[in-house]
Amino acid sequence: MIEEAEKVVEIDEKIYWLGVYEENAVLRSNIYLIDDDEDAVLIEPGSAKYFDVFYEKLKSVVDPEKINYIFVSHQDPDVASCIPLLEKKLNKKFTIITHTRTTFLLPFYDIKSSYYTVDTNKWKLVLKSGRILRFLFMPYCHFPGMIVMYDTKSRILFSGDLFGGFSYRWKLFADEWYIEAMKAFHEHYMPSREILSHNISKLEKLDIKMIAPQHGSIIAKDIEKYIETLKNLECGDYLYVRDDILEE
Amino acid sequence: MASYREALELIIKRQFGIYGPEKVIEFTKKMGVEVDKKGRILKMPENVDEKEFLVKFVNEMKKELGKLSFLACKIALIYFFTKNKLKNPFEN
Repeated sequence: MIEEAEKVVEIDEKIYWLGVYEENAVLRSNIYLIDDDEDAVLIEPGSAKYFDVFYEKLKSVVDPEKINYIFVSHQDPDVASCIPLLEKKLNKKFTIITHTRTTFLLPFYDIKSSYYTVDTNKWKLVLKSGRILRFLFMPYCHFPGMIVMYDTKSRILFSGDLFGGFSYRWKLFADEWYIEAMKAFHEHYMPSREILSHNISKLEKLDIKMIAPQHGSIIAKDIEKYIETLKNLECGDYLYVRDDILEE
Repeated sequence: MASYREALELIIKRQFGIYGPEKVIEFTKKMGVEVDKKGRILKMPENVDEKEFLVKFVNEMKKELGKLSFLACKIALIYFFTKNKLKNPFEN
């Protein structure tokens, strides 16, 4: 076990990493929390499988009752399957921040909470403190309703699957070899260079201090290098590849 | 002109990101390939056909490091072979 992985890590002022580390896993989930005065926003709360570990970490930094918002970039089980467990544990409903398309699928987890759909709310949410969370649409990267969240106060981009990585070798913060893990993940999960490049270009308008993906490592330096790499990455296009070449 | 040696270097660098340089360098040594900390090939086995060696390297890599090792680089390899007009040695 990597010592750092057992801890809660404050990655910025009152923004916490609550991820769960599993030895020998190739994809690990990063969970984050923004504790902001009267609001607490849980970001991509993760898998039902790791709920107990995650909940212990959560309790150590905030009263879980304080959580009123949950952000999910899309509906995959590694992102959202623990939401019903959290509802039951706290006997509480939350406001789930997401895209309308995701709200069609989340009810399959038997989620009872209500939704704040960013596409019908001018792609932003203003917290009680005045802090503005902005959202960008990243269709087909890899889900049709995929969104990312930009916290204007911390300048952290919570990027969902974008900027994630495949790796047996885990580090909380990206090192020089993370870029290869990131390329491997995107080559498989993103449908085409055109789609990825078009969406990644939207990030160039933002002043990003840190990128916090849902898988892999947090990118805290050389942000432009990672953006440029994904903008130009040849990816997807399985349609053009013979099946026998892709077999193991 | 691009070569199969460059394809091998692409694979090695990719594995650095997935498994870490230490584990990968240990494996490349067994295969007779000397690489530096940047993943650059310094020395290849002598008198080998680079294309045939690439296939052998990948087959051994899958056994030694696991299935993900090839999965993690095969799309990049397909683009590399296509772009450089090299025959894909993994194609039947």
